[in-house]
Amino acid sequence: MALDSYTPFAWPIVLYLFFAGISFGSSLSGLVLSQSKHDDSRKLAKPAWWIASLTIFFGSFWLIADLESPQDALLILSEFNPTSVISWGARIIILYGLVCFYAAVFYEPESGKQLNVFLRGLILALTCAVGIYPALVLGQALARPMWGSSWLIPLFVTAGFHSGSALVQLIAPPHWHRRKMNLLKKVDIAFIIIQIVFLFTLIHTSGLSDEATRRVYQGELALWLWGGVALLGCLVPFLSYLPKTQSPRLMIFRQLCFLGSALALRAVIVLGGQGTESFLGA
Amino acid sequence: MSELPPIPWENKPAAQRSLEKKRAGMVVDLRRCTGCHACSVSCKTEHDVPLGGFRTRVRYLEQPGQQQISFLPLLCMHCQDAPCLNACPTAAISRLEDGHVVINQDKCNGNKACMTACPYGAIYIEPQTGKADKCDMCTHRTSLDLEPACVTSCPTQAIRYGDLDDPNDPISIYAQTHNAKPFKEEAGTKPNVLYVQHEKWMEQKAATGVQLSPEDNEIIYEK
Repeated sequence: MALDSYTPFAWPIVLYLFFAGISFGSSLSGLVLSQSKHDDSRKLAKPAWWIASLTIFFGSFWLIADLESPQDALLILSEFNPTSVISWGARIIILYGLVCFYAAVFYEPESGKQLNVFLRGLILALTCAVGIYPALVLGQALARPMWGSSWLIPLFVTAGFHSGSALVQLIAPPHWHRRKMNLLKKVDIAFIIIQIVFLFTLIHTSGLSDEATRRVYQGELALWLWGGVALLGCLVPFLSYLPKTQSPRLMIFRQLCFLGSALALRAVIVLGGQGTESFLGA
Repeated sequence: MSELPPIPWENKPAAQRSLEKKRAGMVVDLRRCTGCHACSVSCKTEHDVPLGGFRTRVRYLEQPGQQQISFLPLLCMHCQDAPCLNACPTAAISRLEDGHVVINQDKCNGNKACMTACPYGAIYIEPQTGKADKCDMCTHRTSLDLEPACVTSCPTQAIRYGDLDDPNDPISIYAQTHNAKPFKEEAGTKPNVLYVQHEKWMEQKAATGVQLSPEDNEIIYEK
């Protein structure tokens, strides 16, 4: 029986998490790039914030599409439950999207002027909130062991930053890549290792039942885990760094692999985390 | 002049509803349950629950290593620390004065946060309205001093309803005498539905639907 026929949170939520992760990573990349001494790095901050604002709004579209009564979507804003993570998150996402949009429109890298300290602080705070929000939302689902694990926050944060920066790198000019190649290689390899460690620690320490673990390793989610996360996210990028000459096409291919892997990772967590109701390590 | 039929509880003025403060709960005695499904059928009839949706479910469980089937009625536990209530972003879920946890359909937009939060799988989506729905312990009946439909229809009195905080209430006495305990106590939700003679293996098996045999690969889920 297909997993997603018994899952309240299905593919729209996977897509939201994917785009929210990209948005988080892009916004954080924008903050880092805007502080750079190099003009070509600072110039990337503006498109990074455009990506951040557009992807969070596009991701939010999938949240609304997931509602069983989408015509009542605005109830999330008109009603408020202080104990609900989604109640807080909906408001933070909207504010974050608007602030990133503002930064994308008004940041002028050519002028050499920085965004003011307050705005930078606000972007950083909201970006961090958007980064950890998915883990907190899933963490309210007590009956889903993988979602209640504390490893979800660092996993989503590192995966989000990596996928967001991958998309920003896709639009960077080739000379920027050549200049940053050594640094990017080290960062990529570090992030790959960290995400793999976090993911497998999550699977094995969250109290998943044998059945749920089997589904992830051998069952319905095996293709996403081994094909998406392991192959696309780890093996292929490692191999792509072997050639001494890194052509622009190879760099684009590598970033697309990271994006595909990011989608696969979220599919494994969302669909695998609720494929069985076995609770608390039963 | 003929009497008008009772109106649904939602439309009844607050003053007319007998919602005195208490801890409404149920005790389910698994030694008495015969798996007849009278509770789930009467519940479906009472609330016009759509096809595929269940407010009350009866699991048929085969104990590992035994040649015996046990029956396990599952319903909303009306938890004192309800995770569905905490998770709902539209504040559609609330607890009444008498302890019943209910869903206000007018505030629900089907975001399913409650479904993922509930450790008992008690909540389903009404396909016609797209809103979440669950057992409300027949609030429309209890406000008229009637018992829930499942309690009334049970031929063996395996399900009982009452005030768990009242030491003189028969259900309270029954729960204490027969050592009734919550299902999945480690969930920490403090359920108001207690079970007599339920065992740990049932909690593990109950999650897998109507499993006819441990060797069966085809597991039938309710949707």
